[in-house]
Amino acid sequence: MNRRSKQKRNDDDPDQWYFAAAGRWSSVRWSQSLFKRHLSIVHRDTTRHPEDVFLSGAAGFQIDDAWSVICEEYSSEVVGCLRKMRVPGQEPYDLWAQALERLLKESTSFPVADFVEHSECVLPPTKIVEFEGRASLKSYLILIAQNIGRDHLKRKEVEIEQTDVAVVAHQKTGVGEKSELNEVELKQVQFLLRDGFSCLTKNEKCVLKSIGLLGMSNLEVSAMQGYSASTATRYRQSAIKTMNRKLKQGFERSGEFDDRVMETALSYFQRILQSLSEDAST
Amino acid sequence: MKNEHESPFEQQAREALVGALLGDAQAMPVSDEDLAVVAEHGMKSLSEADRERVLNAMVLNTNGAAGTVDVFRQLQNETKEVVIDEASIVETENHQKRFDLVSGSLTGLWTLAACLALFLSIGVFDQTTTSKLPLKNELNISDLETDQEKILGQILMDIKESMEAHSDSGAGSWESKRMWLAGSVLMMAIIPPALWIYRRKRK
Repeated sequence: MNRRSKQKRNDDDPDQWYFAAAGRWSSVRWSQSLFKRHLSIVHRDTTRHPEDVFLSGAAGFQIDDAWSVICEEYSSEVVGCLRKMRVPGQEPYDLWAQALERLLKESTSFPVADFVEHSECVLPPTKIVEFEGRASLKSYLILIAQNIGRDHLKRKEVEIEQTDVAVVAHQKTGVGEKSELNEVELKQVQFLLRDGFSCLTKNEKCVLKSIGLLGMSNLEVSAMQGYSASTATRYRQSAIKTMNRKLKQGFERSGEFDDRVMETALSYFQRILQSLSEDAST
Repeated sequence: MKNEHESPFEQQAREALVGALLGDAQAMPVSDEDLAVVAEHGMKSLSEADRERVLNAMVLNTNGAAGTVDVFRQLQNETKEVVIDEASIVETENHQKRFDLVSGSLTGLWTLAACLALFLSIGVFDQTTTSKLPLKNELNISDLETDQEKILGQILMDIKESMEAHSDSGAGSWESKRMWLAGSVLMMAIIPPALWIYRRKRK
């Protein structure tokens, strides 16, 4: 992490923040009164990166020098991160440009009326003005650019899936493949799984969702949620245990499943849940 | 979790499980900044309600929120790299300290040993010289025959007596040499470590 971007809130004096930011980016000329007004709107109490709020605010009010600083300071870092995700047909610089384009759009939620008396605010503020400084500007820019890249990937995946479905439908030509579970059984399984999941505590649900749906490892979950690694493991294991128990009880109670389906289903879910814990431990 | 070679049953089961995990997740609005906060600081800084809202947005990929996990990973890796860099610097410094300590001690010991050897040899040599001097009863002047021999004998006896007198006064005795030797050794034992500590402090 760029050490320079770590800005600590040693004191809550907006004047000091202003002078620190103005000193750091001397080319960006933005008035102190506007900065303070801007801070009061973006919830000064929650701001962790006031210098970044200065830069984003100035850029939001379309000061060209602020945009130059953003491009100079952050483009290499953002593009570096974007290189790690390969998006077909999109170069990292394209995604960075699209992120800037998104931030240059006119802001719809910012209270422009509060700035009417300031003669400097001639142009309508752009979307970057909504940045509140709760995260660093660098992370904010990386995230926006990554999300744009992800959107492109998702669109590509949908295109491929649609093509695959069409090919498979064409190949099958009406020969319906028999599923192991009939409609009633499938609904029953879905119900049992939902029932099992609803019995979990909030933390257990959160861990299972993060591992099962977001593909996070145990360590990542613990880092993101602020648990210790052992706590995350405990939540995961108890969640899996509860789900298993509920499933087994449900199968035995319903009596609608023949032994073969029940056995296959249990072993399969056991395998999936086990693979979750294996993924988590890596 | 997704497996391309799964059977229709496995596919059904997987979808059922995903459906269960999604549970009652509802798509709720989430801002880019909320996601950036999660990517940078995790969910620790969010309230309970916000945690659920952001997690649901991530699993449902609202506003491209699933990408937050990637950014979180990247930022975590960068932090780890910085931590590793700092750890390696600390390790190098510790290694240097250990090296200095060992080399300083060895230098001190070496100097000490060399000085000890030197002064011991001087002392032994000195003692040997003294022991070679004629002893009291080895020379009897009355036994000498010629006058020249008697005169020479008398001169030798005078020299011996004067040396013994000098030795009795303590100035050249073996005990005084030992004291002097001990003092020198002590000085040599103190000076190199003191110089070494001074050099370390100046760094």
